[in-house]
Amino acid sequence: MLGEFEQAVLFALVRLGPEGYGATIRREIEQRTGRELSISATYVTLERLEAKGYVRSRVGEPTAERGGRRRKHFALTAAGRKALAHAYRSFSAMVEGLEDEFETS
Amino acid sequence: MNDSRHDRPEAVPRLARWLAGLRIPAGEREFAMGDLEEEFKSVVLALGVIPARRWYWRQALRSCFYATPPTPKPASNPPLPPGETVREIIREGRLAVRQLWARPLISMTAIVTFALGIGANVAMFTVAWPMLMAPLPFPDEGRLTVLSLTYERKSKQFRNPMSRGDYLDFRNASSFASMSAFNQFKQEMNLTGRGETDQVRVGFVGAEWFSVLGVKPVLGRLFQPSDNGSSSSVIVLSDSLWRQRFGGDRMIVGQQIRLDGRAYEVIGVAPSSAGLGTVEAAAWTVQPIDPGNRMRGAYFLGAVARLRPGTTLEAANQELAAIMARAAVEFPQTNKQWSGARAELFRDVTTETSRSSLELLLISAGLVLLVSVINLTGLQLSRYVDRERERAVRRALGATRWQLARQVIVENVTMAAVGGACGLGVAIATLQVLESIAPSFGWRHLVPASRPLMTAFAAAVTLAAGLLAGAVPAWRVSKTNDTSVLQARAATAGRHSHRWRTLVVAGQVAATAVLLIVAAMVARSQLAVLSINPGFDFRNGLAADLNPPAGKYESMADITRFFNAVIERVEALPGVERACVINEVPLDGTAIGMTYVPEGTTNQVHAVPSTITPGCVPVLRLSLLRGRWFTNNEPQPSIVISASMAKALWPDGRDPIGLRVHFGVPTAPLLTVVGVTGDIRGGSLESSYGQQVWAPQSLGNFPPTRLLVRAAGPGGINAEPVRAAVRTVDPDIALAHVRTMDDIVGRATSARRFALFLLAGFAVVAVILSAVGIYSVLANVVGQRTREIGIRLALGAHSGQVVRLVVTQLSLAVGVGIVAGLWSARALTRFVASLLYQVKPADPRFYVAVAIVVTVIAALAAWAPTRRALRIDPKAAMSVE
Repeated sequence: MLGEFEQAVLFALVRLGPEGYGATIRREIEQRTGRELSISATYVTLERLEAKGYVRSRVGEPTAERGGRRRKHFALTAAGRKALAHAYRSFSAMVEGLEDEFETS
Repeated sequence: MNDSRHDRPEAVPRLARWLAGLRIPAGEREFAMGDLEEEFKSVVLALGVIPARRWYWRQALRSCFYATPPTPKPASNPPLPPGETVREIIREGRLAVRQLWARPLISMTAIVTFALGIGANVAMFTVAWPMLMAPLPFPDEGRLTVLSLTYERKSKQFRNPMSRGDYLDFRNASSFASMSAFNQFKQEMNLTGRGETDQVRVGFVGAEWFSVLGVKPVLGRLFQPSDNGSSSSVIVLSDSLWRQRFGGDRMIVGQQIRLDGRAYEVIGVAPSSAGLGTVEAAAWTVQPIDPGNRMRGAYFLGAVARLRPGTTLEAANQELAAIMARAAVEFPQTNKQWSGARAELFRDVTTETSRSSLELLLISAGLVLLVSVINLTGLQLSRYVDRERERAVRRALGATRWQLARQVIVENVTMAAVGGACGLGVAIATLQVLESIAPSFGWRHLVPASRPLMTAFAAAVTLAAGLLAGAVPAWRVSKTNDTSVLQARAATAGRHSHRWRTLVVAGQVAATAVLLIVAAMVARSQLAVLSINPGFDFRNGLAADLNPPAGKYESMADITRFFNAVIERVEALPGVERACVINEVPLDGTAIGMTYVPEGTTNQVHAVPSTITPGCVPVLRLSLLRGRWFTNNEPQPSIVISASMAKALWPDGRDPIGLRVHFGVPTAPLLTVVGVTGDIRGGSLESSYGQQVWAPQSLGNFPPTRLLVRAAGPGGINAEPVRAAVRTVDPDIALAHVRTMDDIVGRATSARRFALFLLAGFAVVAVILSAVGIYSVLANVVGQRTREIGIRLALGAHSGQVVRLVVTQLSLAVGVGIVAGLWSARALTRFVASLLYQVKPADPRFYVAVAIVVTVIAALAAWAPTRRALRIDPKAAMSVE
């Protein structure tokens, strides 16, 4: 079972590819859904996803931009991709034919 | 430019950075903070520094408060619909009641504890609320003020009545929309003609008085400005006099009654509360105010006034000060002695004396409730471990933490409700007792709050007490760790319950200590006051009011003849040593001050005058320091002054015998000093104001109104023969308010005695509750550690070590409690101050004494459980599971 934010993060990772990291993931979700996500919630979700085996992480070099801190990149695993695909298929199946009801503006 | 500041990028706000990092998982913190800093820099470039800082703060706060993304919960109990919740609570309530039945001893303890705590508070509230909070029976009391002159003595300011001239000056003040005078002296007049002759207290008030106060008539009408003419003799009865003496006769309006032989027409009936705080009397008649009579030098008027809308009290007082300053210049002889005039809010003046005592009593009652609540919390926590398994099972069956906590709270509120119902009964009973003994404390106006209000307060306190008592146990319960409890055996007390026990005992000890200290200080003050030497001695005697009516007794000679006849008849009675008359009994009346001016000066010296017949000297055992007392035939007006008065009149210490003073103003007649007597405490036992002047009847200034009769032996005087003797002189005059010196002193100390009575009661309750609390905590500790103690005993520990095991924690708790209690008591001293006499709040003797007492109580409470610990049979203990 994927939670709402977990789904959003996984979708963002699909778009961002293996270069995705906390800041870009968060920005992507904010820009697309219009919902504000806190940095802490983002990382908690990423931690959970990693624990479930849906993403893996890789630590990069420290940069001056980040005050000397390193960057952690996240990427989808195969299991993550499968889970996301499953969620997508369930959603589409349920939504089929109901688009008019839910299309606003 | 070489300015390095411009080269360095703006830094991230440090506090926000700390906040942001709080809720980020530790392992990710570096990465998350790096992300934030990176984004921050791009926002700086895009929008500027200030928007960037704002953005950063938003991110930090959101990170702090919205750190958990919602996750789908594992399959759990769906939340119950609201109606179901109420039914659950009711079910839990019924279960709680069943459990109360099941454990009668614990339940009784809890219920009684609640009842005492709640009952004490409800009783106090019912008594104090009307005094402190109830609105005055006058509309718009925020604008209602009382005016008085002020003078300073020993750097304290005192109030004084004003003269006609002063009142007329004030009446013109623009700060006040309306004003009315009243006579501070109420007269006891003899009501004749309808049944038995009775003495009735009559007040003299200005024609506008009722309308300034905003009082509405119960029957008929009240005074109007047209009633101001001195020829009209109209009277308004109080509601209570109308009902008690005239049977509530609605035809009373228009009828005439005779007071002191003079006819008055009853024009209406006013509520009895109309005189509250100013002229408390059974009836009121008009005090004529003649605009042409601006006499000064005679101070007997008070004034009530309403502030003009838009005028503040401060502005009014400033205007009064200006008026007084002008008067001091224009009339130096009379007005220089006053430091000014004061307008005060009506409520402040009337509740002044009782307020801080009441506040103290309310706090004390609160402390008793605190002890009760702590006691019960302790009881609950003690049983916590016993019921841990039960809760763990419930939890495993799916009850949420909230449901478990709720059960505890419902239990407590149920117990509180039962206790509260009993407490309400306790309060009602206490009130009955208070009402019956209040008169002996001088509290004639014990008007309790209404029953509905009292019940509402009781319900509120009960709910609060139940919630408070249940709060800590409920919180503990909601943190139960299921699996470990189910698997483990009943463990020995953990670190947490150790801490709670300490707090419980310390809290109770502290509250009890505070109550004991306060009660001890007030008790000591009472003893000190009672041991004051009043400067006169009136044991074995009685005092009564005696007022020859002005109509029948016109001249001084008539009055003198009347009193001499009464004295003669009374002295002829068996058992009477001497009798005399005086204007006010010392300690028993309003001590009004007068001014005296030494001959040849313009100094105004303040003193309290008394008019006496020569018999008063032996009756009151007045002393004589120099010269002699006056007799009935003096060639010139003669007075005797007190030692302090002599020093005040002639500070150079010369012999005052033969010197003369003017009465009131330098143009008034001269009085010759023929003797010096010791100071007496005339106004109150506690005040050491000693400037007094004693004058014979012939001077006529303050006519005698009280008869004093002294018994020849220790037995006291029977009032009936005295009454009969007075009747033989004049049957139209009644002897009223017969009282002894003990009654008088009792009333003079009544406020303190009442407070002491209640404080002592509270302290006793607190001591009992604390002792019970300490006992139960220790009993529980011993019960839980039975196994451990048994093992130690088996291993050869001797009794001292066992005792130490049981008692160490208790000693620490008691110690902490004593320290906390003593420290809190010091914080409360400002409330106690008004009740203290010659007791310094910081006096260490009280604190030491109370510390010892509390330690002894704790030791006594600990005795039984400790003994039980020593008697534990190691074999039996070790087989306890």
